[in-house]
Amino acid sequence: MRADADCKVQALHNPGKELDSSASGYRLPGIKPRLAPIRRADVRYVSSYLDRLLDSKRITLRHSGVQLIQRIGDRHWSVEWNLPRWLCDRAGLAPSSARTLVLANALGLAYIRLCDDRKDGELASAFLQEAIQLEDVLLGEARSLIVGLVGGDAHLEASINARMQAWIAAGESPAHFPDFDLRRLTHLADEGAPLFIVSDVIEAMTSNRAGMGRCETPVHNYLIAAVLYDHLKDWRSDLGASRRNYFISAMLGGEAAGMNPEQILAAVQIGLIRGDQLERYLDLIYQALAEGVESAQTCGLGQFARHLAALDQEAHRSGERLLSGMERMLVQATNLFGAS
Amino acid sequence: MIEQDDRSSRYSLLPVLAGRAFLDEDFRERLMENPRVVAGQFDLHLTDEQVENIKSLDQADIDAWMAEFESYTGQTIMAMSAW
Repeated sequence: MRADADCKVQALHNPGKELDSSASGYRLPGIKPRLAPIRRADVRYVSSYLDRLLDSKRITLRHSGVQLIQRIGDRHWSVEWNLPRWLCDRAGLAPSSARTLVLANALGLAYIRLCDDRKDGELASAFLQEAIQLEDVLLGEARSLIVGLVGGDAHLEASINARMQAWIAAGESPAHFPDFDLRRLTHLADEGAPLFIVSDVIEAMTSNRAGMGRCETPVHNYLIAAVLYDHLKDWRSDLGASRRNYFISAMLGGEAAGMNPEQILAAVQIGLIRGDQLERYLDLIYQALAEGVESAQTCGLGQFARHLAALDQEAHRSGERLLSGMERMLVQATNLFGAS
Repeated sequence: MIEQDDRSSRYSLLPVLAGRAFLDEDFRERLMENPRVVAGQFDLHLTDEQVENIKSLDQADIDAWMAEFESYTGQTIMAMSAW
């Protein structure tokens, strides 16, 4: 089951060619799957930079700010840490520019994580004001670093504002899941829209000569896969907290209007155990990642392509384990009925 | 809606009925109370042995099954960010 992710992907997609990714190996010519590690030196650099910054501004939550950097410094955020360097290398920019962009991107990501934690009610109410103050410092510093690289640029400023606005709007929209067609799920990438700011900055730094527009396609594909997977992973906690969730919407086949949480829980569990809807949902993740591999390779981002290929393999392994587990549970239930 | 979906599933109906019985408490109660009628709504004919097994399902079996079910659905391993 393959379909084009969006018009950008459509331009790159070759409908006659299937990417062969499976648990046994990744056989797209020229692609050797490899998860990109996060450079620990980058995490240390960002941590100490933020520590000094918060100290100079006498921010109460200084320690929490630095802990936040450690939290986003784990392997789940590999793309976010590596993307600035991958794109700068491709654009021929100096390592010092890449380092500054890594720093700005990490501070921006820390800002987003902190906002999400606050909106999800995960911060103690006694620290809300301090958290908002910390958010302001993180975002303000990320913007200052960008201005330091590019100077005043009204067009870039408008792009950054539009990315941030898209992210905010995505967080407020319902979990609209029209069907299992990736072309109709492109809006999911807006949940990670700030990640596109890296390419906006590089485009501005190179006076639009870097061709960063093409490099947005694999990022777009990656974000769709990440959002779909995140909602699959978190559906139980999201249901418990009444948060919107695409996986729940997909399993219900529409809105949950009129259903209480227990009915939704049972309906999603039944969707899981039946397997067919789950399989289609997993296919979307595989498909987005495979499109990402192809588009990253096409626009010369080899390390990104290898990383996405490794994620694709991991997604297949994880998905197959879940599907086979559900099948096993179904057999056990049937046997208890005495229905062999 | 679920029952309609079940009818059109490519999976056979009996396992789906069994799975739902474990996962949906209301449905399980109705099924245990009157197995033949509820199964009949799915165009299924149960044997006497199956009816007896359904009526004698015990909570320990259900809890053990649910624990294993949760162990599968709770697995997350991918190195993917959480946007």
